[in-house]
Amino acid sequence: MTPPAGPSLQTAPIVVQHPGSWANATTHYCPGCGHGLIHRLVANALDELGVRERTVGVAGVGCAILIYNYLDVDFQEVPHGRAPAAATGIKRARPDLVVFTYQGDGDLAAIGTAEIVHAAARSENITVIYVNNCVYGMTGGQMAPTTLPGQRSETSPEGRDPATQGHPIRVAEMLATLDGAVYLERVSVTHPENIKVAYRAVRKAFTYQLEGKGFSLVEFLSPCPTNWGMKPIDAMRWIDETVSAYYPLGVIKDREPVHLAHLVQQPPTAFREDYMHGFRYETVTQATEDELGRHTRRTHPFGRRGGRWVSVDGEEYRPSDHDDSEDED
Amino acid sequence: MLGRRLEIIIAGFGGQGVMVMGQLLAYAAMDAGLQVTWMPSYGPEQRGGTANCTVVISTGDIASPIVARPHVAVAMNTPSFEKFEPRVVPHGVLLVNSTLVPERSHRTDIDVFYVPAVEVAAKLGTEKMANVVMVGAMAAATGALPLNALQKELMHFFEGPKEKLVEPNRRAMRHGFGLIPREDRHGPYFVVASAGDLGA
Amino acid sequence: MKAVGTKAVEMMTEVTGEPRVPLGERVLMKGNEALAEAALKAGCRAYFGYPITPASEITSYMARWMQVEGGTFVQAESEVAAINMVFGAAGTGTRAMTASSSPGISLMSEGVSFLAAAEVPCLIVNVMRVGPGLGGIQPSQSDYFQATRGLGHGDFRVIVLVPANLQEMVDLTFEAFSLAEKYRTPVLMLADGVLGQMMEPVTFTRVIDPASMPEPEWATTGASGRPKRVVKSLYLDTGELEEHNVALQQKYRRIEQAEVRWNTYDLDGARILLVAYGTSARVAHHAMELAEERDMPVGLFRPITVYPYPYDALREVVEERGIEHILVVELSAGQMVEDVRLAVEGRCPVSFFGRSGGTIPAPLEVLDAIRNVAEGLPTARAASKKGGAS
Repeated sequence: MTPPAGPSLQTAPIVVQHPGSWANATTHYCPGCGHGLIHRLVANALDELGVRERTVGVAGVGCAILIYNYLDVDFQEVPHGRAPAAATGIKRARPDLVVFTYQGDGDLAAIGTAEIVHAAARSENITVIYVNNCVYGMTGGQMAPTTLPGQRSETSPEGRDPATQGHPIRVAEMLATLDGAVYLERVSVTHPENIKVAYRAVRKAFTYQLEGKGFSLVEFLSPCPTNWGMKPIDAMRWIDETVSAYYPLGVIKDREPVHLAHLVQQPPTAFREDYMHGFRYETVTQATEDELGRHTRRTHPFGRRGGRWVSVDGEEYRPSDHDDSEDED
Repeated sequence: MLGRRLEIIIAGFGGQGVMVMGQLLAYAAMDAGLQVTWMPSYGPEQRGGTANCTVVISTGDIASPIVARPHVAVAMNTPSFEKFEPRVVPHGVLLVNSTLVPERSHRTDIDVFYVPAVEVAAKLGTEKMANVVMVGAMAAATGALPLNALQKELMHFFEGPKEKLVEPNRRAMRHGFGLIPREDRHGPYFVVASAGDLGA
Repeated sequence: MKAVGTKAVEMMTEVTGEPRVPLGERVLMKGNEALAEAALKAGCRAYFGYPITPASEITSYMARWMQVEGGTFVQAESEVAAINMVFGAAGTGTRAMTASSSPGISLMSEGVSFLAAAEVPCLIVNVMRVGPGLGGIQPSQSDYFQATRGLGHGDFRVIVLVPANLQEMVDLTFEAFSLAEKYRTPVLMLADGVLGQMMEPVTFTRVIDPASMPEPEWATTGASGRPKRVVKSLYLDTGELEEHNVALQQKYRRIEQAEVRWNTYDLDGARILLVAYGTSARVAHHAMELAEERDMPVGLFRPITVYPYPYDALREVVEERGIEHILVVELSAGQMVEDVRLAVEGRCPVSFFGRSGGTIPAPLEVLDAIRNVAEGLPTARAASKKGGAS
């Protein structure tokens, strides 16, 4: 799998190369997308654990459905949301195989909610790679179950209003209430340090499967610059500052009895805290087209112009510095 | 070719053991080399409401396991009596669990037997055996299958620790048989020369 | 395949001390249980299901015995999940199946489309109940259109087997797995509440050891010493997708050539032909005997596959036997009757008798329908079986 090289490179020491579990393919992903990186982490883990030759992946429907072209392992591509069910079938029929699903937030947290919940409840001995980018990517930027309150999308043009469009689902925390879920961790790929943590999580999830421990899921907060309308670097920043505020990073559960305590003990950001302390999102209906102009919209995924956070006594929530910086763009 | 057929509907409350009554007949018919189908009513009505099963026994292939007008009907409760009494074909046989069914049939074109099955079963130890008492009475009234052949099949329903119940049930079935006066008993309905000959 | 099935015999012996259902003996079994037993004996080692009346006994039987046979059983959270579990297991080359009844089959139809597209063999059982909607739990044949035409989106078919008695259902269960693997396609066993719930003597004559079956060359079992395999239905390139569709259609043509099954009864001298399948064929058969006793010239044509449908066979019977009128009997408002009309192409009138709502017609009702048809024959008064046209 060494890259094409001239004669002079043949003897050179290899500094970096594709993982063995990587099919020598070029991905179709947009610039700044997190999928390629996450694919690679999975491939690296399969390499390191030496299980490539007995692995079967299950590709969910979404941008990453073509993962079966990029990883050099057996794959099944299944109906939208059903990957945990298919993985159950594979693993139950052939417990000797290493089985993982690779699912986006539409696949796993919307249409496939029943399948993921019950696979976790049964503690199927599989590994789930769950990629949460707060938006529907493949279909062109519609609202996902994970879209943040106030976040604009094709189907929440004024920003997601929890009053009519519901609240985001924190999948890892939701599954943590199930006795069958053994290992749940939320990671991101925004910085090298985060990537290292993410890799360790992926490897641990597969290790648990090899040890027969049961259901594990790694939730990635992943950038979608295209549908967020951001530069890749801004997308990474938005994850660090805003997305991971709503979806706190870290181990949500590791064999221990369910503990959601960290959610309460360590409210990671002001936004989350405010939200949890009685602020509600209010849509500003008189917003004009100008105010919601394309530029604004593309650079304000959080959609402050489409609405505002107000406390029960009518006090408007003033976002911290990073939110204000948007106006400068 | 359809052969000589006997179509039986057994009906009662869920819990009275009407399904078992039909299955006793079905096992015995199969072991006698006859063709047989057993078809239950199913679903919510099994749970305490009226339940019934249809047994068709034949010397030849059985086309339809569904019976609208049976040769023999067994009514273990009043709703079953009201439902199936009018449906018995002329010259057919109706057996009524007279302990629970006070009604009397006004039909003159069928043979009706009032069998105090629950009362007899209670005297023999437990009311639960009323169904087996009734099977004995039916064997006598219709000649559908020999008493000893039916008694033999009880083992299917009392396996393991329940095996000790086989003997009381055998006795109950014999008592049921005895409830039909000798002159009213029907000769063998099927001429079973030897098991296996009649299957085709 | 080697992962399952090897412990079967010893475990079974351990539990019961003897084979659960011995070979070569007549045993009285409920249809659903006989089907499940047949699947186990046919080497099915993965079952996924969700309970529904009147098919639940299949799931219960598998829950009791599948693991004893060394296979896997999961009670799924829905029929949607069940069919996709079948997808996963069958995708590893394991003989896998699910069973449900009408509303559950509707939920599975997405998965069936994917199975057909990805060419994953499996057995799906529909113990039909009456619809539409929740309908009721009584027997019905009202899913014929769905089974033969609309079991999912896209241009595809599944082989549909329609047994009329329990022995045939047992034999066709073995057949179903062979056909599924031969053609890499889902196979649908289309039974109904009567066949599922009734008891009848059956005889099992063989057992297939799944360990003896070779691993299919397409199954996803880990890319060890071979290129990776992908079981999939997505083809983004239109040219490639058309090729895939053409290949599927060619397969269906091969199935239509080779796998049509039917049976006929009492065609000698018949002028009226009953056409019926499954439970309604049993009722029709009884009615035919009653009609013959009354000197009416009646025969019976019974499809055993309804996809592929025996179009040619039926047309030939009509032509060669000089059938003057066809009476289709169904437990529906009239679905297969459309295929009968397609088969005879106007060669003779086609009438229909059916009951829906879960009512099973008595043979005498069908006899009345036959009598109506007989009275309409051109030479009704002269009509008698022996002297009739041939």
